[in-house]
Amino acid sequence: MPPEAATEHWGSEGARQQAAHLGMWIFIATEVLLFASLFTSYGVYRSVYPEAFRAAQLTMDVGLGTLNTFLLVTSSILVALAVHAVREDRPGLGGVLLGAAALLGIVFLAVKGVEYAHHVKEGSLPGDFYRLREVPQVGASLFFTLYFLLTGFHALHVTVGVGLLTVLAVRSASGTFSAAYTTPVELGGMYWHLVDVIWLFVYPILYLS
Amino acid sequence: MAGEDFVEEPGRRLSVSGVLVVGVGLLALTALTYLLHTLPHGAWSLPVALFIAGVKGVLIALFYMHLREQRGSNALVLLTSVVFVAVLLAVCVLETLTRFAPTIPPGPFPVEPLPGLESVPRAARPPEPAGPKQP
Repeated sequence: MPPEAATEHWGSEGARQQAAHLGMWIFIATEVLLFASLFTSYGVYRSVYPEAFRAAQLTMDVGLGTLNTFLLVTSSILVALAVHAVREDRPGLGGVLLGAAALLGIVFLAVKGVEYAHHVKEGSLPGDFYRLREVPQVGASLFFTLYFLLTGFHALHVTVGVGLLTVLAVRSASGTFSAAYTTPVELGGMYWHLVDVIWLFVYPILYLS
Repeated sequence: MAGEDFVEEPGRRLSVSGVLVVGVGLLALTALTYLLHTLPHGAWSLPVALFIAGVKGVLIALFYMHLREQRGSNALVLLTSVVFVAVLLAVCVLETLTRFAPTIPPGPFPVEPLPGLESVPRAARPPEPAGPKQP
């Protein structure tokens, strides 16, 4: 949709863009609060079972967690470059960069799948399904419950983000966007950055320390 | 600035080199987080790792999510949500940490019937109300 058609309702293109960005920030605030409940649960149970959480953390594959962090940070950089390319009236380049970012998102999900397979194999599963003999169940099963909730919700967001980036990449490559019409790419990019920022906090509490 | 129409300052938009500099910073901070983990570490490791994550989050919000170019109202929305997260997290964790230890249950345990209710004979149940059953 050309921006001229949409701006009349708002009075000006500037007001339309402001409304779009403010709406996106309010959506992001709700997402932050959603994950906040899980982070709070983690904080509470970690303070109750510090030794069990530490022992459970030592069984995590730090290498794969770090690899996934680098994948998401790199994809965020690609999205930021894509937004810049579209703003500079190079939607073709923007489409390629968005496609590459989506691809990194798919690799992230594949690595997560490998990790989940390891957990199923060794029995480090939530609640009653917990079978890991090396770490006592009390507390550790809660760690893995929160691990699967946090990473599962996050993976859901990555999946949505990959779909979003793919649609934006195709539309950008087909010339829908231009220097005069960048809002969808900017907002889609903001969603992907949110997914990245959430992982930046999930990574240290589940894999490190 | 043009009053209500002011949305962003194009002069504050990042150049390609700016995007790349922030990106290199993010990758370097990620590498730093991992390297600190490989060193011998103690109780401060998690706060330090979370502080580095916070710095990365601020960089992404300011430069990649365009907060730096936009009106303060957008930053206010984010700031408000972060304040509420901090209040929720701090109050809940402080409450647990200061709780009298025996009031914390010893861990997950299977759901069991209350003592004396393992097998409920029909006579022990409260009588069913008289009259036609409610749909």
